[in-house]
Amino acid sequence: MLIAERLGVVVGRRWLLDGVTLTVRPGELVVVLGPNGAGKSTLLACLSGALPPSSGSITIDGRRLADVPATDLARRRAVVAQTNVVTMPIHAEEVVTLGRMPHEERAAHTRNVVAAAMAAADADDFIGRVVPTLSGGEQQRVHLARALAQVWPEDLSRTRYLLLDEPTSSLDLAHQAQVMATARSLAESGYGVLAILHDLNLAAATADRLALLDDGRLVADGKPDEVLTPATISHVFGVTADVVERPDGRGPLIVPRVPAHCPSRIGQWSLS
Amino acid sequence: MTAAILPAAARLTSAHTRRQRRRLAVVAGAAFTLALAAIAGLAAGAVAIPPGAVLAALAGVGNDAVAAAVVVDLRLPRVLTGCLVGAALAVAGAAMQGLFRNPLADPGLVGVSSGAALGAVFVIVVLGDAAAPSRPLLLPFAAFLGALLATVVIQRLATFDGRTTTAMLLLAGIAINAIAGAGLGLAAFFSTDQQLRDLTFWTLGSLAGTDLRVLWTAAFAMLAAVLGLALFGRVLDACLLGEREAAHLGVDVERSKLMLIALVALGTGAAVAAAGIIGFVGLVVPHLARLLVGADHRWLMVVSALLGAALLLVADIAARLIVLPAELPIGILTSALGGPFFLALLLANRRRFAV
Repeated sequence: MLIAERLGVVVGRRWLLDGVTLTVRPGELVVVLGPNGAGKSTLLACLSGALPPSSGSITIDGRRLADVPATDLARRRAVVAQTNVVTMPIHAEEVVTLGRMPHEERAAHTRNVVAAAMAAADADDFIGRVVPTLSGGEQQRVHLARALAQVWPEDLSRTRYLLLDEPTSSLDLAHQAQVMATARSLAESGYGVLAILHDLNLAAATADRLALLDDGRLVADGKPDEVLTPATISHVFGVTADVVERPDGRGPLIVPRVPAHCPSRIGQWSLS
Repeated sequence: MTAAILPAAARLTSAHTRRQRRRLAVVAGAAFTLALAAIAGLAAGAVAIPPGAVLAALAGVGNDAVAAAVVVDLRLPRVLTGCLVGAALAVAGAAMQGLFRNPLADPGLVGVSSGAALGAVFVIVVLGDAAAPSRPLLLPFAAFLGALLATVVIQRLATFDGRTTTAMLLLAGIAINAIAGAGLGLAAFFSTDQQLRDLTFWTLGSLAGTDLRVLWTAAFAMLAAVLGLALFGRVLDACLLGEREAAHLGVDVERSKLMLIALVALGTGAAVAAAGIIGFVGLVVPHLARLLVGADHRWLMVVSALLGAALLLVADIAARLIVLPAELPIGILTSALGGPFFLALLLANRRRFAV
């Protein structure tokens, strides 16, 4: 289990995270939601070990995160950041192969894992392509493949975790669904998966649990239909929304209300 | 899932095989070019010696004692220096560019070379004759310190939150070059005629005047730097993804950065101690090498070392032949070639570097 207890991160006088307690269990897909600046990426940075929290503690499978050796940690959890800018001419499969860096193994095995991870992320079409020539969404799939390769399930004796920061932000509709389906199936095969998303409906349809952050605090943590109520949506996002049943029955469907008349703000700054 | 994996694995294998073949061919070609350049470097000069006689002199079977003396005693040390200086500058450039994820991070452009020259000149002018007996050790060490100081300043200024911006990198370089330029100018103002001649050697670069005792120390340092940097190939590959991503892969980024900075400073400092400031080798050579073998640093380092050595030998031959019986400083030649290359690089990447 990946457990954050009473996490606090302070920069200057501002608490980016304040008393956040969150658990990612093996076999579970947890989606973190919240408005811009709520502290989602900060939480992910803490859970990945990149950012030591100002207060609170993080443990991974019973050990303090800071005490786990870097290579050992790299074999247990992989991270896909929000932005990945590779500017040098490196091939897609070379990026994915870097995911196998923490593992000591034969080259043939590496190649099989890389091929499998690229196929799973639907990035195998980019074999032989140079990464900076790929589109943003295509690069995102390459980085997902790299993370999958890093924690590929070859022995299931230890739990693996996948931390994804807006993995669907540059993807088209089909690939958004596909990435989340991959995350789901990984969770079902025993991974602990945490993903930050902005699309409430995609989150509600795929997540086992939702964690809702607002202004650095965890305001709700539970099943999608418990968390995504008109009251919390209005409170956290400042949007009036109807919550209805999805036609396919998989979780709630959030329909934000659009005001019938949207007052234009442009007129306020009259030039005359 | 397995059915979908198999074609991907096959494609991966064939792409890998094709690339390895191509890279091996490039390494072989670069090694061959270097061998030709080395023979030409031993053959060319005020006294031209035919390649056959060069090989005979090297093998110790020639019957021309004068040719043997010229080749083995005069030109061989110079050619070996050229090889090491070229390789050290090119590999230091490739490493810096990987570390900063920026193809413009050249030890010359960002001020590492001038920092090293300032260190060397300090030993010559300020310490002067008093330090002459310990100069073989002191001079490369001072050059290393100067280079190290410059590299640390650049790293501190240009990298913020794990990312490096081109503007900060080059602006920091301008500032360091200005400071080093002022120091070198001041040293020139206060130096004696003999010191002034030495000083010109540092600022324009030359393989001619190297003190053989300095050369031994510098050669050892350059060799250590090139081999040391080559060990960081995989780490530099990971750094291409970003510093935080490299850390997620289990790389000890802070420690690696310190080691890389020290090795870059060692290589550049030693190269400057041996041959003065020779600009643009660290910019041009890794760029060409990347076009040939891509950004995989283990290959990039090998090809950069071979091509850097070859380029410097060719430039040295030109420097020796163009104004016979005199000799041009080699730094003038590399700058004359590298400057337009730099402009072309900027032109090709206008959009990317405009941030």
